[in-house]
Amino acid sequence: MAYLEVRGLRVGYGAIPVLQGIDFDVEEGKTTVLLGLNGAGKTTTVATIAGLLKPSAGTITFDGQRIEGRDPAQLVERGVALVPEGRRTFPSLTIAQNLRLGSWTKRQRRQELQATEARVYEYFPVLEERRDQLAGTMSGGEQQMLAIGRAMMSLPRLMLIDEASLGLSPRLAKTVFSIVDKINDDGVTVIIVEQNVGVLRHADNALVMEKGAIVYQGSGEELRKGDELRKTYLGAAS
Amino acid sequence: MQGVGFVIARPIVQGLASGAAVGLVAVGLVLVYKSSRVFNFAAGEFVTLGAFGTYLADFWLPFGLAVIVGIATGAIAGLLTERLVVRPLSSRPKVTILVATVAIAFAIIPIEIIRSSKTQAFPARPIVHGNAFQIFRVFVSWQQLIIVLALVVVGAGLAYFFNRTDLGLATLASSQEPTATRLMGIRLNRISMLVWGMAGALGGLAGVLLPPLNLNFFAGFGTTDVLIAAFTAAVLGGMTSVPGAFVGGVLLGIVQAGALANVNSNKFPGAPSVAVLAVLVIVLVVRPTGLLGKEA
Repeated sequence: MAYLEVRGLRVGYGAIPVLQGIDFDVEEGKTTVLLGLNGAGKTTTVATIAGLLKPSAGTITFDGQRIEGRDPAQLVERGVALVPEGRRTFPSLTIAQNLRLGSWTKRQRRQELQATEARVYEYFPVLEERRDQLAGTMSGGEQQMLAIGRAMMSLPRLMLIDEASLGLSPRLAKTVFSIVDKINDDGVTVIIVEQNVGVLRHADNALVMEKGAIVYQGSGEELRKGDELRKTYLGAAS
Repeated sequence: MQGVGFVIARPIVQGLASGAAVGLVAVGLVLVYKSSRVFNFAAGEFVTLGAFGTYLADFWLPFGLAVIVGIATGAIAGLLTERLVVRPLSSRPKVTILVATVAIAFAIIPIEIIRSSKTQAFPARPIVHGNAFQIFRVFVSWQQLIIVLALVVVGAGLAYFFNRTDLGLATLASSQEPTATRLMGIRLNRISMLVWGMAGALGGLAGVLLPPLNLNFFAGFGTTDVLIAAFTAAVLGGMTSVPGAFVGGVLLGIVQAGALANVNSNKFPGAPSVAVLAVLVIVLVVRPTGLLGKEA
């Protein structure tokens, strides 16, 4: 059984269906990239896995346990963390306070958290330098680092990262994804939602979505190197 | 002949105490507004219920415990409002919830009137009788001193809560980014209950502290006498600023007391209200976000 197993997942906003019954698997310890154009259903997929949306049908199994429709609080406790699109850091709180809230469900494990906080600062030194600065006064790239660092503080086993490169310069995006590689090396399973195919170099596996359906499921390298594949599934975006 | 010190000190002493009590209610309004963007028109009745709770409990319990019952009555009213009215309506437009809070006040006031059979004034007992000291020939009562001390203690407590505790940070976070707050594993319903409970307790505390200044209270006084002043204080302070609500409340109290003491009420009735309105207009013209507010 796969680490994350999605079967027949249907999700909509009111009467408007978005996901049309998708199936995919994610392997433990791997990085999977979820590609697709705007409106393909990528954000809806990760938001549903993280518990922000309730599916109308289908199942999500994480590490052998059914999790569809569960509250985000329960999922964070089980090790599912979402870095949301648009960062959504807490603007009037300091960086240190943002990180502290990231560990909300693991507050009792103080020693482990100190080590995790040290690792966040090791990966993102700028956060330590500015730990008393308000998050709302930071640049977009720094806020993205904070959003990822905040998710790390919940000691996740599965990290979902939605549009991490949005609004970042290519150089900054590369830095952010190299850190995501390190997080993956630490044993965290990662799903990256992206429109930018450049992220494929960081992917073990790739999924391509179109109009609420999975249209490609395979190796990231195969998709990256196969020009025809890319043109077929990603069109102009490739 | 009254000295300059007396003329200045009297409205400050009187206004500080009444304004501090109004400030407590204003803080409750700000907490609720920050967390749920709702103007809580039931806040005045949290005050009245606090006063009634103390008054009734005083028949059966030592006064110290009656005071706690008064505060708890306000807190329970806040919790019930959240659980029975605000939460079921949480997906509706904010104006619907606002109207629902008005309905709560309108439902509670007749119940209080039934209890008192007519617009009867109930005696309000101060926590400590008598005067504490005199300044520029102005007597400062123990009750006035206790109200100001209560404001300082509540202010320090809230500052500690919001800056030093995980729960306080979670409360602030929920007002800034509700979705991200959920993704931290924080349950917004619990934060909402906490905020409404705190707002109710602050109203209940004002209901314990404020009536003894006028020696009595009556059904619905929280809505008719306190609510508009508290909203004005909250807007003066910036509507989203807790310290601003404290400052707004104290400023409002001093302006009202100054107008009451220095303007002939026969020639110019309603001078305190006009003075407060003038200060509100001036503050909002000079600083539209209020004294300490950060957002419009």
